[in-house]
Amino acid sequence: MTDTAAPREQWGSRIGLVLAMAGNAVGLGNFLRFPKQAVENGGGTFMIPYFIAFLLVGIPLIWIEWGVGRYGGQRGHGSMPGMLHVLWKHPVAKYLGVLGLFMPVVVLTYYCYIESWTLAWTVFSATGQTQGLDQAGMQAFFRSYIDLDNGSIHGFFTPFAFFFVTIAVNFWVVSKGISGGIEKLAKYGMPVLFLFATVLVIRVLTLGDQQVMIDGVLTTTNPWQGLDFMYSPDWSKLAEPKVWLAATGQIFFTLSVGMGALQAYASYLTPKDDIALSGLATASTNEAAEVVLGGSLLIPAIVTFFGVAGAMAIAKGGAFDLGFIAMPLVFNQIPGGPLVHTMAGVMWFGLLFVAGITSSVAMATPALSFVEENFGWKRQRTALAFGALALTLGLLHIVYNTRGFLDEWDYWAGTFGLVVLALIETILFVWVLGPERMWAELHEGASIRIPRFYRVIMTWVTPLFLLVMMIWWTVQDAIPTLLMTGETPERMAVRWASRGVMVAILLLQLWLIRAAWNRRRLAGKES
Amino acid sequence: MRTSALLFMLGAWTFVIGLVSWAYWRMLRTPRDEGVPPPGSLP
Repeated sequence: MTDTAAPREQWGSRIGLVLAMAGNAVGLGNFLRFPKQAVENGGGTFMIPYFIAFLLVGIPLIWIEWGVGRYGGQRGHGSMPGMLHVLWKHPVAKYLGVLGLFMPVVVLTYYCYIESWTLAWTVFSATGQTQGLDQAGMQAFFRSYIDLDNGSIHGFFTPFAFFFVTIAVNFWVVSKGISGGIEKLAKYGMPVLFLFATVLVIRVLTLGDQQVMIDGVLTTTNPWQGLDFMYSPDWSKLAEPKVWLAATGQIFFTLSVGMGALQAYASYLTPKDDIALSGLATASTNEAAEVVLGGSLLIPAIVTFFGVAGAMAIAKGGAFDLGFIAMPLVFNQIPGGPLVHTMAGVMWFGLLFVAGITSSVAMATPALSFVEENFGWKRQRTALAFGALALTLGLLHIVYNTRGFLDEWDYWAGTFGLVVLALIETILFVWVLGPERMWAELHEGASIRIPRFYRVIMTWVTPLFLLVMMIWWTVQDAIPTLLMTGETPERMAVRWASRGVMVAILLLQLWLIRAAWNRRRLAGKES
Repeated sequence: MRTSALLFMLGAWTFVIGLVSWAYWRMLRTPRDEGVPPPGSLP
């Protein structure tokens, strides 16, 4: 017996769908991670593997995920367990789909915590709390927020309050549904994001020559030195496999593929809706935000006021140091006085918050759809329950953030797991469904015909690329991470606890899948 | 800014801006319910 297709919500408009999909893809990584990756992996030459990965892995995966989502949605499934089940009629398929529930839930929890920093810094910028601080002061301001043991500047409950507000806003949006909540957020949020980013890029690139003191020497700097630093080619890097993997990894993160969220959004498409062109529009919108806007903000701004060496030194602390320490320092030095400093800070952190929330609401969707469709819960009730769960789990991140709790979740669910799910869904959609049916499915309602050579790429190149990537990541990172090589005993204890919570979430979700299929069987939806 | 860096930057910008412009131009030209015929259906 086949699954019955229950009436499902639909997207209100094509532009709303594309903006929501693009909103899912455009996240903190576009503005914080991409420039750092480019600088560390060969500058201009990084763009070569980056665009090759975009064409061979990124775009095919976008089409595959939209295809998987619509195929599952048409058969009454809005999350990966059901989607994989209809692709592969094997009892194991639905359990493989647990990854499409597990990763969004796990990533959402810590992503909302980081998103709450951007909300906090929007408020701090608006109220002038970051003005007048020097580099040491700004560092202390940031560290005391993210490390509860260091509460010298912020009140103990401040991070909890901003996290609570972030979770509440996220789940309020998702409780309003696809068209009334998520689509509306994208329609208002994405133009605001692009407007803020464009204004900031123009302001940064027109800063002109600045006289800044670098290592006690008065030096002339300008934003073009930052662009030069970012795009200067280092041809030797092209021979390094790790650069190719870094580029492919960036494409993965930036397009939000391998997560389960794109598929959940695509499950609300109708057979008449286009996948080929809309998917391409989504991917290219994300690339424009990343390469043109993201690449022209952080590094040029920081190099203008700190020089190349200063930017490198700050970058060693990580992308968050660049975004939350260096950028407010940059804004404090932009000509124009306190009002301009405030506006620049609000726009920068405001755009990060919008980029974050349009991604996090997407991560909430698969689990919500799963519970609604399989257990008959109303959306508001599901959103409330899931919001409470995310809030509870997020508290662990706030308390243990600096002791490796978040790192563990970020690696297994936010990095390694993505390529595993992407490989599984690619094999099932392309090989188990069959290349002919896959191709026909992608062209159902299509506004453009996908070039024929992409069928070969999706059948052979993309799965091979993913397989190589998974093996490489296993050898290079997964085994050392699993063994906690070089970790202190105190952090090891926290990391084991972190793993324990992840395993508990995974087991709970496996049990829910089993319970859901038992219910479906009793209801006659499954044989 | 060195010429090589400028060329890489302009190349990257041209590629993504060209792609996004073409995609939205095609979307605006094609109404939501007007798709191309499925592959193999054309004579």
